[in-house]
Amino acid sequence: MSKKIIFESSEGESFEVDEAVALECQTIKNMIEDDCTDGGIPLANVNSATLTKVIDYCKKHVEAAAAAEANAGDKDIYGANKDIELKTWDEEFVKVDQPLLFDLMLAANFLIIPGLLDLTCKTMMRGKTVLQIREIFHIKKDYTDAEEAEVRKENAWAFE
Amino acid sequence: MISDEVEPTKKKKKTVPDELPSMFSSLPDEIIENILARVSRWKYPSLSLVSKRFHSLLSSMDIYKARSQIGSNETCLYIWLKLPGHPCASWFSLRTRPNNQNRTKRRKGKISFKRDSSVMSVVPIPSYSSTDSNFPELSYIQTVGLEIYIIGGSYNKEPSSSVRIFDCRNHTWRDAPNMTVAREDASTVLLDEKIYVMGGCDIDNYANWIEIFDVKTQAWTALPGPGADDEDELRNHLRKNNSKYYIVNVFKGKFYLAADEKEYSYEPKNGT
Repeated sequence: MSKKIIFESSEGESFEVDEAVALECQTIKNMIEDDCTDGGIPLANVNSATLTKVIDYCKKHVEAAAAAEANAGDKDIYGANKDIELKTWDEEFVKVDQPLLFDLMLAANFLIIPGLLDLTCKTMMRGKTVLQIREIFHIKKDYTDAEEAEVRKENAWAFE
Repeated sequence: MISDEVEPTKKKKKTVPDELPSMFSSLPDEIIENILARVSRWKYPSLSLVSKRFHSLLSSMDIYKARSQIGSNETCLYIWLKLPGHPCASWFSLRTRPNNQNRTKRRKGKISFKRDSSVMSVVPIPSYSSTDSNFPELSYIQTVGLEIYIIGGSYNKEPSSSVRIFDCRNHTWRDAPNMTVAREDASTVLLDEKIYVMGGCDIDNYANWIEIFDVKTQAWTALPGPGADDEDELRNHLRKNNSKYYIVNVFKGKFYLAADEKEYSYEPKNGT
């Protein structure tokens, strides 16, 4: 019977996970090592929806790592398939709306989950135009027309 | 909304439209860098247009540190081209155009050529400085790690002792200390993080015929050329041919020069 760790979301909801899953988060790993996880870990800046996804991610990756280890003896085509499967899973995993993706990235940054941080960061800007980026992230255009022209001039080749 | 400003790390409850404007702006630079470092470098110019903050983040060296940290590598081919209608040759990098772009509009002066289905284009590399857009001809080019060294060469037909370094990470130029001798068409060899530059100058400039640049300390030291004796065969040969037409290689710390039909070896440690 593996040890359980209890997370508490910003809404005060409790989530019980296997220690192995919690260890995917570097921040939690440090806490476990320092033995200060009794009575649950309050995550005041991660909401329930995000936390559910984060736990899903960690679970999947723990399982995948365990499966990879089990197959380590016979490195064959299946090992490669597992990799592709996990990649596909990851890709599906980040097909979420922009605010949730954003929250996931912040959670990954805060909990230090390198794989998830990489995944969410990569997805954040993918295939988006400047206008879309401004719109999605609510970034105000702070250039005057002249300033914008100056920036364009710096790398004129990119705008031909 | 004021609370969002004060506590930028505090998580927002989802999708209250009014709360969103500060969402991205409240992020620390480090997280935005994390995102931008994972984007192709070819997109940086257009991403710089998003806002001043994007522009300054993408122009700083930190973004390239972040890129190396996460190991985001992009292969880039650098070429040196002399284009018709341009007075001197310049450096370009070669990139594949994104396929989804519709290339029906063609602007005057655009440099692109088609090959099969993929479209490649050359992208001018920023020139060395705004006052001096010349790149030397007949310079020797040595790549060291992520940097390209342009050693000597001729500017307006005058040999030069200058050494310029191009940093492939952020596409910027910097100066290395000059050599003591102006050289053009010199030979160089990279060995143990040292660049050995030979010839490209008058052999009777004997004492500094070879100069060695230590990449780590970024400093030059000079070595005499082969043949202390004035009547030395190799030295005579090099003098006659204006120190051209030889091949240099290095093996186990020894130089090997091939001049005419003869081969010479040179041991830099003891100067024989």
